[in-house]
Amino acid sequence: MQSDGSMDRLKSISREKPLSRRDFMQVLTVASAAGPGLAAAAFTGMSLTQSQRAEAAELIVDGLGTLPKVPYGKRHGKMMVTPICMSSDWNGELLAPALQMGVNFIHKGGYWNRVPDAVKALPRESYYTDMTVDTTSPGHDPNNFDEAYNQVVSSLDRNGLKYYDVYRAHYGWHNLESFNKGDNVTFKVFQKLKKEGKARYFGVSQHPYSNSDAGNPEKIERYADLINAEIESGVVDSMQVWYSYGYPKEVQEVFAKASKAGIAMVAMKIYAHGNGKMRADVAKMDELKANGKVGRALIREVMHEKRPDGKPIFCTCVSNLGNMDLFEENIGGVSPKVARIDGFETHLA
Amino acid sequence: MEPDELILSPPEWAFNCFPLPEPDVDVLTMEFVISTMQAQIDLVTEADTSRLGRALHVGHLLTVAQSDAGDWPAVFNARTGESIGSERSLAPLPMFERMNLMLNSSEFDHVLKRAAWGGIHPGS
Repeated sequence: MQSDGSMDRLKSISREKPLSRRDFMQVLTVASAAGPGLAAAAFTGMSLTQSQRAEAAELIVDGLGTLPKVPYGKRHGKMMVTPICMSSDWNGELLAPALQMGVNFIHKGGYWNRVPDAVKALPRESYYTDMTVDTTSPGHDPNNFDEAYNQVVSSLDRNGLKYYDVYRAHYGWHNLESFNKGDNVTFKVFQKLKKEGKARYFGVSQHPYSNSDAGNPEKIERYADLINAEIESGVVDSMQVWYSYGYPKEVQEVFAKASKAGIAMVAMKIYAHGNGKMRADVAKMDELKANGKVGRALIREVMHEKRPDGKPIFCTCVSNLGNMDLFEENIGGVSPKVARIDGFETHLA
Repeated sequence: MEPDELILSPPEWAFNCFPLPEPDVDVLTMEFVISTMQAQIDLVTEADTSRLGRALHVGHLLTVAQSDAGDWPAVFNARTGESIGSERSLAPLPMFERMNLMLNSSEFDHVLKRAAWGGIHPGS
């Protein structure tokens, strides 16, 4: 085992010049000895070459193991996804390691102008992706059929993805009237695209517009009522929603209802909206067997939020990952292998 | 975890996880927010893009506050989301364009279009 002093020396050397093979092997040995789900710390502060980072990633991926796949709600045929999704804005170096672990849903793939090589090399049917359509975003006209339709078609023309598994209404509707029990222009655009084979399922990222006073006067006064209307409309197949540790009970309840109705529930903003509370709650992190790992604790907490019938509310989540540390910490939150080592009893959807 | 050298607004604020010059200061200038985020993006490396993630979050929340004319309040209360004064700002636009370029993405095209800003689909 290397001493802290030895690792500090290697960190210092790495910032001056690439580590020699021998020095890098010392770092890999330390990382390996730390154990599954804990390897990335050895690389923190090291300046590594691209090939060294790739080797480090292999070790980390090996520690995390293959991720399970769970049903993406009950409205998407046989679609099974890993409990964490990639996002098109991830660090590109992390895409291949995630794919290696089985991650098979790419959020916001529709925004790519060009599909990264790691994804392009795969058969299109081997992964899922969504297009977040912006006509329901603040300040846009949700009744502008052409804008929504053209956003999807022009993105497919650019990136060659052939079709989107999920057409996702970005930000969602502003009030019950504009949603109109599902009989709205956004859904009609989806229906046309579905007939043309360009989109398969209908989803929404229903956000609460909490900061809209600063600009456009769009604010949802009764968020839970709108989610309820979306559930009862029967047209929404998936919902990607802001959710984290400490969210209001009424939000949790309505998301549980959506999940029970078979809608695929995807959590987002888990870290941004929960890190302060979780960081301050050492007992909770202990309970989640993720002491000192806020991201891992938050993902475990959210992915184990239960419906009244005891089943998980969320089938998957989105996390923005920019480096190997975050990758290991957050994906470790849904890794059965790491859960076993941490002593955390996991019950994913 | 993520770099924590910034002071960030709490999650319950309208503009949550926005940079603050000091704890509990809730009146921000757009200039401060954007220059802080641009400095974060400057620190992005091939190995670590987590600071870009922070700027993306700020960008997502700012899209909500863009006016029909394509601009933003120059001064605002991050806690409540309210604009302060009548001065307007276009400071976020270069950041949106930069993020689109870095990610080879069209995510913020609609924001740039509304402001009649150039560089649409820069990577296509």
